[in-house]
Amino acid sequence: MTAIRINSLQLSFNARTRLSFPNWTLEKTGEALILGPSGSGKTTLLHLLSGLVSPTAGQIEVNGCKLHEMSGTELDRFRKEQVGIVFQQPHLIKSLSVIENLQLARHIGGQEPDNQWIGEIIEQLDLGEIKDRNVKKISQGQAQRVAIARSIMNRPTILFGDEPTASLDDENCEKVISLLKQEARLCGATLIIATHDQRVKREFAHQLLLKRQQ
Amino acid sequence: MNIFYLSFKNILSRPLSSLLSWLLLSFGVCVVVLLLLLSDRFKDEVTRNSVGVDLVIGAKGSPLQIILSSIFHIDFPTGNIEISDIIPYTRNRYIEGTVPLSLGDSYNGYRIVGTIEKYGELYDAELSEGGWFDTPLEAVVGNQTADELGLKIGDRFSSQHGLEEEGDDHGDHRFVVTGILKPTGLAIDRLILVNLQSVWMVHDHEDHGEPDSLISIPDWGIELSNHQIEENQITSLLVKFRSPMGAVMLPNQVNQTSNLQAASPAFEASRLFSILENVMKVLNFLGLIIIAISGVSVFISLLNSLKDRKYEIAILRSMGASRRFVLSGILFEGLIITGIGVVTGFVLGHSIILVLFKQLLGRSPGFTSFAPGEGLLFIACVAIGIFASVIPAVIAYKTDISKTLAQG
Repeated sequence: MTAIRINSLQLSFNARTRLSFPNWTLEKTGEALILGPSGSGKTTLLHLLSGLVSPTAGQIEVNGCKLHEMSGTELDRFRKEQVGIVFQQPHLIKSLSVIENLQLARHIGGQEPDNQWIGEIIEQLDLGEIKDRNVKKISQGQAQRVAIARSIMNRPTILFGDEPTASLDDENCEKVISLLKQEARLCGATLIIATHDQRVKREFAHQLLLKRQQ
Repeated sequence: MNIFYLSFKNILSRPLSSLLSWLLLSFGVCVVVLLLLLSDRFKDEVTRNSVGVDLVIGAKGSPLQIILSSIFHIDFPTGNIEISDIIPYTRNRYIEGTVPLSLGDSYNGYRIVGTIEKYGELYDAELSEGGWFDTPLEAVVGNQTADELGLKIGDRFSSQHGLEEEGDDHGDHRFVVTGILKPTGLAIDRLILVNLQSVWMVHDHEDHGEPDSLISIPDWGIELSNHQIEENQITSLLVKFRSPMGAVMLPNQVNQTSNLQAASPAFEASRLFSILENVMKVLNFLGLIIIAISGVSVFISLLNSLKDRKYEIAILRSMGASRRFVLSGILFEGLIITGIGVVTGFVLGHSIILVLFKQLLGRSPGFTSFAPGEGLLFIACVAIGIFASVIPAVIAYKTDISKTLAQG
């Protein structure tokens, strides 16, 4: 089963700036790394794969969904039902507590509040002690774990990480990668991480290397 | 967890700006509600208390003061008038009926009014217990007076000279309560009614001489001796016209040919209202300006919060939240602040009126009694809330997720 298939994919920002991506296929439940220097289009490819932006040319298929043919509303539904994303910064909803951030993710995903599932994730990611704390009052490492928990709240079929380790020390970098792999396996999701962090390179067998584009 | 909860928590997360918007809106709405209610209650008070009274004849002085003291019982009378001067008006062809009032005494701050039984009929005041006064020194008390002073049938009290609580006591003459009135919602509720002769008696203006003749005043249903007529005075005469001609002829006749002053309740009330109206217009404008400023405050508060929350919004969108979800969230934030501000303003305005009327008139309108215009004010405030939130909501709606996240 194919999780990702991209073919002649291009995204133009204006008449002069255009990003082109190599053709690529990834099997379901696989783990892959998108590597490349700054400006190579790693984040843009991730945004294309997660339906945050639509391509200007080419085909992009994720879990059988032809994203290049989808409308904005359909892409919203696609993200809600299939995608989980972890960013370099956690960007949690600052007015809410840890558990409320997770409940909000369930609500946006159109899912019933599943306290058992939320409880399991909280336990796995060791968030029990801070679950009722406002997210402004937790550490950066804790916030990143909450962001991971949030990304898998709706059991996504594909989990993206956009530079999730860029601002972390070696120990936390290893922890976050390990957690992402663990949670992706738990959900049966394909894991794709876009990074220029060389520390992560050895953790993934399947790698897509992007070159800097003019 | 739902969008209302998220909006509410977002409001709480910026307490200072939310508090400022809330206070401004509450204050502005409160001022406008107060003015609407005051204006409405004032008109209502005037209409209900002066029904059946077309003209008040009193001593020379301010006509407004005559109306306030004789109709609303909230000001000092202009002075007294001779009965002999007033008797002709009880038989005037333009007049259907008259009621004499003798003011100036009180009991524990409640005004004693020397009058005739017809005064009660004027306001459809019915007895809840006991009977009307038959002889001097019998008193019928208004419902509120009885309640607040704890007066019952058979209780005795001495009147005090003047309308203040500190007046000299007329200890030699004690009144006995013979009747208590049902509540009417009018000024009569806080009065003590006695017959005319009672007032003269406590002021020692009794009929000392031999009556050479008794003069009947059919309109008042009493007979007075010539001594009583010569020696005693009343404060004012409430007049009801027989026909609209009375309104044309009588005031001029009274004002030009005697030492008396005629005052029309309708005219004085509208004169008072036109004086107040200018002040009210200024205050109303001020209130509306404050409401508009609060709308700007809501707008700025939301716009500033958007700058801080652009990544949060992009994250929500990346999680699958639709544009409509984000738009609704911001609109709800504006509407929640506006709604709470409007409700607080209305509650505050109605509460102040409640306390104010209780203090000034001793009774208050119902808390849920609304003035015309309040509905329009509510709709206008909600419209301001929507208007203030629309631009920030549209900005949030149009957030370019990919671009915003790439910057983060």
